[in-house]
Amino acid sequence: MLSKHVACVFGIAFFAIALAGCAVNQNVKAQGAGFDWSGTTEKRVAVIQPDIHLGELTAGGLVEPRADWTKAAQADVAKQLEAYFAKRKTSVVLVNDLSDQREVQLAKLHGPIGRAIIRHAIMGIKLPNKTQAMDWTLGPDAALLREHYKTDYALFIYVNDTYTSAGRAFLMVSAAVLGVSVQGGQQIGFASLVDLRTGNITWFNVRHDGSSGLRDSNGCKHFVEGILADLPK
Amino acid sequence: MKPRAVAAACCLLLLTAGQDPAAARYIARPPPNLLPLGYQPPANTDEAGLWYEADQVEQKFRTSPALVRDPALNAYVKGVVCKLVPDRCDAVRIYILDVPYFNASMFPNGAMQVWTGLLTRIHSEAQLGFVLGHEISHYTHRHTINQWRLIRDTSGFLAFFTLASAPFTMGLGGLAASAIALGGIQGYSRDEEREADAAGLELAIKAGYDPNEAASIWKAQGDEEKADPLTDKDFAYFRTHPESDERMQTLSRAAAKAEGTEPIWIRNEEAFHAATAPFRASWLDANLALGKYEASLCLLRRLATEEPDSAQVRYYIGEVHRRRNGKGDAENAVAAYRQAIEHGTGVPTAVWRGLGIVAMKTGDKATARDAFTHYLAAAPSANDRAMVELYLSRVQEQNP
Repeated sequence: MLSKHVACVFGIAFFAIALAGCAVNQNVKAQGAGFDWSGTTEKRVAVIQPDIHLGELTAGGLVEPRADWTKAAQADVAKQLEAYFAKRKTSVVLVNDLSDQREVQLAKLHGPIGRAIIRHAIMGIKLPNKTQAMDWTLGPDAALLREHYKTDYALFIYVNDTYTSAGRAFLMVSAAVLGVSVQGGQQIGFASLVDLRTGNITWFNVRHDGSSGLRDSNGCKHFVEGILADLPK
Repeated sequence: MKPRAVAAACCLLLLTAGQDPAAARYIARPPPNLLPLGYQPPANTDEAGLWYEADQVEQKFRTSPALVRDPALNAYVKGVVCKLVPDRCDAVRIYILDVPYFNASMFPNGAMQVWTGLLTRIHSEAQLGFVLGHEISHYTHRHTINQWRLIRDTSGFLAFFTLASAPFTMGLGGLAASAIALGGIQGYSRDEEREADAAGLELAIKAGYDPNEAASIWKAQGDEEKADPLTDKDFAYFRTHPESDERMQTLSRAAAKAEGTEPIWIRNEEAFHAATAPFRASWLDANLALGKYEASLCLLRRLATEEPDSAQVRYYIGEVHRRRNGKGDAENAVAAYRQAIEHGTGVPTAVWRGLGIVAMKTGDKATARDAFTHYLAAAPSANDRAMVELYLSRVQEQNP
């Protein structure tokens, strides 16, 4: 089991390193249609419980998951999301207890699709048979969510947030003295707005932040407002 | 001081500063710190973090399309867990996943995945008891957290070492140290496997399971690995598990010690067979679909000696030969199909289709006609009916 677990942690670490090449704290937008409220009487969005992972970046560059930080951030981010949509006069259904097998699968599917969008549509590793059209999708099964929560759209959020441990900080300082740059903790998140009539991702945003984290309320507010900054109304 | 000496002094300082005392603590094997009953790691610890990630994986299992949800099979496997560790009966949660490879693995939070490829390859409850006992011991001995701490602390040390040695060795020092450390981590992993073998055997013996059954798992697994020309002959230094042969020998010795201490050892072959029989055909189909025909043959020949009356096993032997389609395979396939048919009861209908196809290929049209006709009569609503009818028309056309 451990080897799988370590592979997973390494995967996230590599993902973080790969993204480190992008500009820090900059939103990268993928263009889509966004909301189309025509024909709907009420603006309603299902906000699927954000997939949040907080951890400590160890001296050796591994991410040690932290359950307490993660759980606190989950509650805090949910609160910030509610406040964000209240300001926009959009009602939200916060889905915090996914239990239906197929709904859980949809939520988990968002992770790999989001990473694929980052790799192929944003970082520019082109797929030979894929046009640059923004036609990524969770598939027609997304209709399950539409029936269950009576909304036409769902918002999926993934965020991986790492904090520099004391050991890592010491390594960074020592390396800097020797003229070598060592990566510290950072935050990588992405969000997708999905049209539940088709499952298509109509808006996508990725955010990379090296300065703020989800361990405090302000950081959560900063993250929610940042990642949804360009969400079409 | 000259600049070089300053640099050297700095690096030495770095090296010693980077040495986390925790690293030394975990490289030396700690005594087994058994997980207390009802244990939940304190929320702000590394262990809670690993448990949390394991909870996420467990949620994936619970909702996975590969999860075998059959209540009877789950109750049977769970029952064996409860015999092994009655006090942790609810703490250990089993997820049977439809994956045709030989594996089971334990997560630090008490979730265990058991692949159907493992259930295909064992033949008694005693063997199942040993495998489950092995995995449960990883959990009770907290192997995941111990290994995580070792990897974390070793990698931390390496980061400092690589940095400090870089000016003198152009990075090669760090590379060499990494290789040594990786070997050390894998060696630790092998030690944990050995510990789980020993502790698992102890649990199985306590539950009355025949200790001789444990070694035979590794004997069979070793045979299958040797039969498969594609088995990785990887460098032992980097292996996470001890070799099958070594595990077999160690367990044989352990079993010999326990021999005779129990008046009647439990094997429960019938109970195991009854619980798994409804799934065997689909598991063997999945095994053959891997295309590792030599390994499949090795497994099936073993099953044939264990179950001399099984028409099903003979049918699959025939299938391997037919699909491999090498020298002598046609004759062997026909022989195996015929043996299956001779067994009379429990003959899979598909045996007639297989026989018909091989006979058609070798030009034995009379046999092919007979076999296809038999197949269509026995399985009138088979989903490949149209295909078989086409075959039948071909072997009839030129023989009016």
